[in-house]
Amino acid sequence: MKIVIVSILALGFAAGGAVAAPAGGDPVRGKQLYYDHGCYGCHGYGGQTGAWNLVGTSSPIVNNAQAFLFFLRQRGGFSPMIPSLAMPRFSEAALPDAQALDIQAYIKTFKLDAPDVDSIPLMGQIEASAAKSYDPGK
Amino acid sequence: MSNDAGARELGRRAFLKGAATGTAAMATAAPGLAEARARTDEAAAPEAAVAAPPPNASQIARELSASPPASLTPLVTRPGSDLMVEVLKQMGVEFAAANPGSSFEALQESIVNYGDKPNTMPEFITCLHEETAVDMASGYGRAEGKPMVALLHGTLGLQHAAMAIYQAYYGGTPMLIIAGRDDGFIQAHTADDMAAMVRSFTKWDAHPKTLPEALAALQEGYRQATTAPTGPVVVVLDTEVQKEEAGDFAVPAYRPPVIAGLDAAAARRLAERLINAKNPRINVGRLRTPQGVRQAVQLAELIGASTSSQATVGPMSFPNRHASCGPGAATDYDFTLGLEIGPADVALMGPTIASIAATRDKMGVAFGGLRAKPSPPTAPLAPMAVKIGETIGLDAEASLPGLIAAVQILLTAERRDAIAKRAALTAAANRKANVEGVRKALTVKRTGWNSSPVSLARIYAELWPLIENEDWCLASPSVLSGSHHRELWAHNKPYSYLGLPPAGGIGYGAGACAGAGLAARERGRIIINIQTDGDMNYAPGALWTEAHHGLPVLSIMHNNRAWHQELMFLTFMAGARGRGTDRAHIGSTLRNPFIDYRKMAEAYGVAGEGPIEDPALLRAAFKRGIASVKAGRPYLIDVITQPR
Repeated sequence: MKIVIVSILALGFAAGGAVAAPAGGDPVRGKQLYYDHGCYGCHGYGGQTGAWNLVGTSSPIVNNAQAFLFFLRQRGGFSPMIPSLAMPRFSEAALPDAQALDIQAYIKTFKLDAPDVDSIPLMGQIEASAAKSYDPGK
Repeated sequence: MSNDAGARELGRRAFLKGAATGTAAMATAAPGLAEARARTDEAAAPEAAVAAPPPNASQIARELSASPPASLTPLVTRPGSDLMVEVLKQMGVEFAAANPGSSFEALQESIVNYGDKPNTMPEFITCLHEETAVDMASGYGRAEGKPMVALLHGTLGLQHAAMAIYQAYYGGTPMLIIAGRDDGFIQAHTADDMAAMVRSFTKWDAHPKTLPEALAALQEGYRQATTAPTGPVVVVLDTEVQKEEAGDFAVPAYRPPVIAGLDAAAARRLAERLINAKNPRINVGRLRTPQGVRQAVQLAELIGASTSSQATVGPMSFPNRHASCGPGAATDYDFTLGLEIGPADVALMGPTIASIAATRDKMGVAFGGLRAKPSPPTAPLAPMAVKIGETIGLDAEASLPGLIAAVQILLTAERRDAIAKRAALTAAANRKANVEGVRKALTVKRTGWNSSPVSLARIYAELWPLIENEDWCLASPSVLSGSHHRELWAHNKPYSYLGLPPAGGIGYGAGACAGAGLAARERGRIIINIQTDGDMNYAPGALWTEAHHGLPVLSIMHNNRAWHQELMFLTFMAGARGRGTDRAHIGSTLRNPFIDYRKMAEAYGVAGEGPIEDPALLRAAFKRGIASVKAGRPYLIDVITQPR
């Protein structure tokens, strides 16, 4: 899936060479927009839980303004016949470029919170538990 | 109906007509005067049958407990409802859950008063909604593999409960539904064919006309509910039958169902294939009872087969941390037996609810997934095609005793040695796979470990060391909270996880957990309920039932303040149409105001705490909750969570 998305982005950039480099957004405004437009719904309040992790990735979708805008505008112009949990389209009418870049700026403030498995005693307990075989006779 | 009973009925109808003529006066009279006048009207009433009237003031007053009923018939000394309770005792029915209703007042009175140990086997369980009563029967039935009773009041109770019955039907959940019917009382509460309202989504129903027929129907209903395909059954009991004098009529002995399994010759042929395989495997689906699970374990141990389990997705499957459970030392299985599941070279597959759906659905409703035509390819929960070489259409659990006996006959000392060596290799490989699997899962689930609001993976992770050495049951559906237990927890009991709402209907979880709590209370078990907020708000009165009956249910709110899946669906829809994704929250969130679940629990008499947003506080809260439920007191912890 990632490969397909990156390919689409590459084609988009090639076709849309006239797109001006957008200015950076405001993370403070972006925080409210991230909530209002339901981004948290799939990505979590900190971009680390749920369907798609936004933190600790080198994806241009997160890190490049043009790629981010291009990605948001895809998947439109059709009528979904079955409910979908896929990434929605965010049209320019619903989410102007400036606001989208505010959201991107906010996403960039997210910090990776993934402690090493061996550093958390609780995780060690869970691992140790997995090594125990169940004996129904006991 | 006996002649005597008929005469009593006529007298009662005459009373009702007389009461109707006094309606206007009674409406304004004081209660004492109204009662006296009703009795006067009764004496003056002509002995004639009457057309069915709408409920009058007297009837409604009685329904609302504003005035006692007039005594019209001689007191019976051995009411039919006492014998009904005897039958329930014989069959080992532990509980009867109900929201009270006049159409089963006689049976309720017998349950709570009859016998050497009144209100025991069954114990009357008070529910605040009929949907909860049936969902409780679902939770209990899925945990124990046997029915309890849900008592429902006439047309109203059945309709309140219909959605829960529907889910039980999809889930093949055994339960005995008793619908009271009082044809001489409030007419809107009765019907000629009461069970027809739910016939298309119940396995079997009966409307007996006499007491002997009623007792036989209860027994047959229990047999039907517990015979594959297991499912909900309905027995409609007329109030006259519940109240009639039984005299010296003897309660018939209960005969358990005889469920067909493999015959001896077929069992031997299958045993030979298992014994002769160099790398046999047994895939285990959902069996009917804990006894079936024990027998599946016995067979796997005898053969030294590797096994697979569905215990992380539902009840009555193989213990998933048993030494045999996992891929084994090699995956070149040369013979695979399926027990109610594929893939397999040979699968024992008993009848399913889908196999009887057409015969029950006389109205042609054609419920999705159960109808004859295939499901649309877009349907996410449509059954997937699974490769099965030979399907034997016999109940796997009923076949296991014969199969085990046949294997035991074929086991030689030489074979036992080879099997022991194979089992040891399998155990080592599976143990390694388990550890690697958990570590891999943790490396994913650790992301957002310290998030506030709390990550759902953290909730499941924090819980496991605290419950690992307890007898626990995860009774709540888990898919919306990420199903993190599947990788992190061991599912070694038939009731470790009770699975999804069988028809995907929200509102099931709270009641099902309370029902599982009934089974747990008697058995030193605790119930874990990761409770979604949307589900809780359909029938939160389940909390009161937990408090009232001392059910050991630990509810941990997955409080994302939304019907969150719908919010995501709506966001996608708005986006596809190029319109405002910032308005998708309308109608799909629980904001303005937020709901305080600790206070909700407190109002229903359940201790609790929260809301908790800091994950560092979870462990101590969970410890308090577990201590509470182990002492027989339900507990609720409100946790503000990440959405998913």
